[in-house]
Amino acid sequence: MARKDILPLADEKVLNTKMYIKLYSQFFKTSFSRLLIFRKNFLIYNLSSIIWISYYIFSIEIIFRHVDSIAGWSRGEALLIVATLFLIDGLRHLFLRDNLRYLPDQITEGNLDLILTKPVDSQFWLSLRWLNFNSLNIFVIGGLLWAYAWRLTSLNLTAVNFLIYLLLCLCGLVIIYSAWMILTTFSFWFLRIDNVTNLFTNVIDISRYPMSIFKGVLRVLVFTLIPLAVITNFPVQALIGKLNVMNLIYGLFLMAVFFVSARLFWLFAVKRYSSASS
Amino acid sequence: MTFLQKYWKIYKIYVSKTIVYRVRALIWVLNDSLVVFIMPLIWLAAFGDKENIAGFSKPELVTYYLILGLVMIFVTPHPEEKMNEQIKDGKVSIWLIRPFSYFKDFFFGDFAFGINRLLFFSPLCIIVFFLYRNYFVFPDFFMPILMILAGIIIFFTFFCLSFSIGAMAFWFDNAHSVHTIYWFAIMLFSGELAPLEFLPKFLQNIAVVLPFKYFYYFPVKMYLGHLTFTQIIQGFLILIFWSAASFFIYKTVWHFGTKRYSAVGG
Repeated sequence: MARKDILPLADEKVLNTKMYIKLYSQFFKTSFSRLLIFRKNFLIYNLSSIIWISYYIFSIEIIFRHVDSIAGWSRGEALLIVATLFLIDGLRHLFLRDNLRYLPDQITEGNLDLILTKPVDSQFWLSLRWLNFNSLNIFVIGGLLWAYAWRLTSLNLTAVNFLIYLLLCLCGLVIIYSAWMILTTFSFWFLRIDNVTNLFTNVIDISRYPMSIFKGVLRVLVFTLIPLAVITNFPVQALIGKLNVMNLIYGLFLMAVFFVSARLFWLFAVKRYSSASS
Repeated sequence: MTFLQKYWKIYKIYVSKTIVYRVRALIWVLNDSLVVFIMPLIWLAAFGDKENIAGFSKPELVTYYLILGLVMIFVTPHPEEKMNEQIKDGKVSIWLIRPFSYFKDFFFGDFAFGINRLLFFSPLCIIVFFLYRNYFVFPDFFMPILMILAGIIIFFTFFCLSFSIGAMAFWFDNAHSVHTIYWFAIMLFSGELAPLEFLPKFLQNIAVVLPFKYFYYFPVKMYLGHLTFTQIIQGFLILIFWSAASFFIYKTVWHFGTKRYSAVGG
């Protein structure tokens, strides 16, 4: 059989959006059946994540046992930040975790060659191949916390605010993905940085606090290079109606900067890798 | 080779390994101590106009976390993950027939790690302490000696316990959840999240019967001068009790673990 019959030509343009969508739905199906097969892992995973979720909620509650507000944020608002982090983290676990977590190992062990020869975009494949449905409980608990925290603020929810909130949550997810991708791409040069994921997660988890606790240089940092404020604080500010348009635009702009940087860095790394090993 | 020569060689190998993987070591320590250096900022923001929360003034609470970070850097061992891997992969078999004890190898390795981390991070600690200088509380003059003494006993105790947790791999396929529970208990009951006075009463009661309180909370409170002489003596005695208990736990777990391991044909 001629190669032409099995696969469209290795011309990248042929792999259009429709095919990517089809490919992704295949990822979805195989990941879902994996969930059904590895049921025991599901329970263990749930136990671990419930413990972590309790810890984050507790780390906020322990402060509010003694004071009424942290840097201008009330208890309800602070808990909304935590719930937002759960939402974004849940999405991260669902779409990205299984892929990016093991990517450094794949890079250092040289397993990439097979994927790089495919006509599919390598970043697409390596970032989205597996979905992790074990993470659904994070959404459930996050949702419950969200509802509870919202009641505490006793504000009115407008549709516009909510939509902007969702948009900024997605924006936060993209920023996290891009930063993670950039860190992972460093595996092409540095061996054994697998615990970088741990550090990365720890840093992201700091965004469960109101970022106005930072002053000076750190404050600049959490709005730019390590945009924790943009990831969780911005969405909640939009939700409670305290976000101005400039910040919204800035958030989206930052997302674009991060995403493009990650993409360019990845392409650069792959190019060097391919030329070195061939 | 004499005893000393044997273990000095292992110590040197681990030191060089650490230097080679300095980035990895840096990441590990940042992992452990990151939140701790951020907590003072959170509490400072929370204090607002208040002078005192649960018996801590602003400087005391800030210093609590700074010294906590320092203690954590030195005394926190990490054998569980590597052990888990090695046991699952069967690599531990080699160790069971070598003249070096598996335990002692990990112990000296981790101890070397601890000292290296401390040396490596002194500059960083000095910078962080300097940034918080307005809030820093200085200790009594005899504190450093007491802290070092406590630190050594704590490291030993902590290590025995973590080693036992690592040995859980002999029983559990996926010991990861056991590790998670272990570290969660430590975070909660060791004073890492907040001084134990800040916890609800029922959690404080649980903390009393666990060893974790003495890993971080005890030395830091001692540093701050919050403990009376009697309490310090009591603390050391309980710490010594826990070091014996955890050594016993390690021996038991290891004995049954290796037995089970060989029975399964390792």
